[in-house]
Amino acid sequence: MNANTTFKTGLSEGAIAVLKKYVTLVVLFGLVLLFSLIAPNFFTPNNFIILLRQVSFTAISSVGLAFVMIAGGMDLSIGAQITLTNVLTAILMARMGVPPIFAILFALVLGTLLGVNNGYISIILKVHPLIVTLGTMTIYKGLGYIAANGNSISGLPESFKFLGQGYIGPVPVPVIIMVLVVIAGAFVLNKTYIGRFVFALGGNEEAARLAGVNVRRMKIFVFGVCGFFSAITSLLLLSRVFSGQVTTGQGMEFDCMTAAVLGGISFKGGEGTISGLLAGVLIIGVLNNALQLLSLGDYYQMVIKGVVLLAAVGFDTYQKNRKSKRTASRRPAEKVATAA
Amino acid sequence: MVRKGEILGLSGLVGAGRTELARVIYGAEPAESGVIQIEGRPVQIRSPEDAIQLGIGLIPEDRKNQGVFLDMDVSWNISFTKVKALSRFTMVDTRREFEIAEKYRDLLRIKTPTLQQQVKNLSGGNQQKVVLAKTLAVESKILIFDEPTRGIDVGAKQEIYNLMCALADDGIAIIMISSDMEELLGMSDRIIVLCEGRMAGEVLRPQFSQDTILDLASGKQ
Repeated sequence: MNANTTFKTGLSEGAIAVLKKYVTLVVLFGLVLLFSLIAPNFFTPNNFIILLRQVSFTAISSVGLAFVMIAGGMDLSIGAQITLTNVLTAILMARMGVPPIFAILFALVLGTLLGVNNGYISIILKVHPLIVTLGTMTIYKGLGYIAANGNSISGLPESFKFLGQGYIGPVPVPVIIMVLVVIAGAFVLNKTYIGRFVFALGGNEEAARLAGVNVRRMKIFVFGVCGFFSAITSLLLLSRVFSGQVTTGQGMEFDCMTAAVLGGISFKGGEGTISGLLAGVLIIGVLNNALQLLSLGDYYQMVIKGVVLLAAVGFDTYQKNRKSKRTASRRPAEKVATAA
Repeated sequence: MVRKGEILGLSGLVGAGRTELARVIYGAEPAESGVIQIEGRPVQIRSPEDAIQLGIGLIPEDRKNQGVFLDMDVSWNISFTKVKALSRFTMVDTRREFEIAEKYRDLLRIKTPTLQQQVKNLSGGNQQKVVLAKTLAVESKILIFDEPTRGIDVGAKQEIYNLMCALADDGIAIIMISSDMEELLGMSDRIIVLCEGRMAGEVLRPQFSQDTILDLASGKQ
C-alpha cells in the first residue's frame, strides 16, 4: 500500500527510507495503543519506567550487535559472552574480594577481548562470523559453566547494587546507561569516519579494502565494540540479579537479532540505523511487558514475538522487491537520457 | 616502468596477468616475486592502504563490486578515500566533504540530480566517474586504470579519454589496461605486452600496430 503510493508519486529513495523507519514506529505506536486499551496498568508512568529498564539490557547489547551486523558480520556469542563475563566477575568479587571498581574494569576488558577474539578468529580462518561465533558461543558458555561449577555465586558487595538496582532521580541506572550507549553508538556510526568504514565494510568489503580501509582492523574493532557493550550488559544484569548465574544472558543474542531485524538492520550489512534499532528493541520490550501484564505465559510470548518478526521481515522484503523492480524498469530511460 | 605524464598501455590476452599485475602493484594481492620502485626507490606495498599513501590509485576493473558503494550516495562515495583526513577528532567535517564532492562532480561532469543520489541510480559512465573522483580525491601520482571504459556509452568514453589526457598533462603517470585495441593504440604513449604472466615485449609509438601487439601477446615473437 505504501509502496504503491511512492511508486505513483515517484518519491525519491530517501523518502522510502524514511517511510521504512516510519513503519517500525507505526508498529511500535500501534502496539502501545493496543495494549493501553487491553492490558491493565500498561499505560502508566510506573510501568513505562519498568519497561525501559527491562529493555535497557537488550538495547545495550544490540547496539554492539548493530556495529557487527552493519559491517556485514554476525555475533551469535553475545549471550555466552554475557554469561562468561557475569560468572567470572561474580567470582572475582564474591570469592576473591576484589573491589567492585576493579571487577568492573576486568569485566569490560574481558568482554572486549572475547569480542576481539571473535573478530580475530574469523579473519584467521576466513570463515563467516556466523559460524565462528557459533563455535565461540559454545566455548564461552562451556567456560562459564566450568567456572561456576554448577553453583550460583552469591555474596557480592553491597556497593555493587547501584549499577543494576539504583536510581538517579526517578530513572533507573540501567536506563541512563542505555541512553548513553545509544547516543555513543549513533554518534560513532553517523558522525565519524569510523562509522563510515563500518558501513563501507558491510556495503562492499572489496571496495572498502581497495579504497584503503584496513579491513582486518575494522572487523576486530566492530567485534570489540560488541564485546564491550555486552560486558556492560553483563555487569548490569549481575548487579540486578545480584548473584552470578550461568543462565544470565541466555538467548540474549536472539533478542538482539530480532530487535536489529525489526529495526531495519540488514543481514547483508551496510544498512541500518540506531534509531530503527531502538524502535525494534522497544517493540520487543512492549510485547514482553504487555503480554506479561495480560498474564499470557512465556510460551505465548515466544510465539507472538516470532510472528511479529516474520511479519516485519516479510514486509521489508516485499518493499525491497518492489523497489528493485522499479529501478529495473527505469534503467533504459536513464541510459537514453545520459547518451543524449 | 611508467614515467611522469605518460600513458602506458598494458596489453595481453585475457588471463595474461594484466589485472593481477595491477592488483599486485596496488597491494591488493601479495607479490610472488619482483620489486616495485617509485622514483628509483624500492617500496614495500603490503596493502592498498600502503599504495594510497605512496600516491598510487587504482580504478578497478569491476566497478560495481570493487569500485563503488552502490547503496551510498554520490557525496559519500567521492569523499570516501578522503574521509579520514577530513575528520577532526574522528568527526567527519561534512561541509568540507560536500565541497570536495562538488568540486569533483563539476570537474568530471558527473551527471546526478543531487549529491545525495544513491550511486546505483547513476549510469555506468557516471558510476565510473564517481570511482575516478574517489581516486583523484587523494591526489595520486600514479593511476592504474583497469578497463576504464568497459560498459560505458560513447559520450562518457570520450570524456574519460579527455580526462586521462588532462591528467597525464598534469604530470600524472598513468597505466592503462585495456582489451579494446583501438583504445589502447589511440591512448598509449608506449605499450607493454604481457604473455602468460611475463613481459613479452615493449612497443613504442612508431611501431604501434595490432599485428605487433597480437604477435607478442600470443607468444609468437
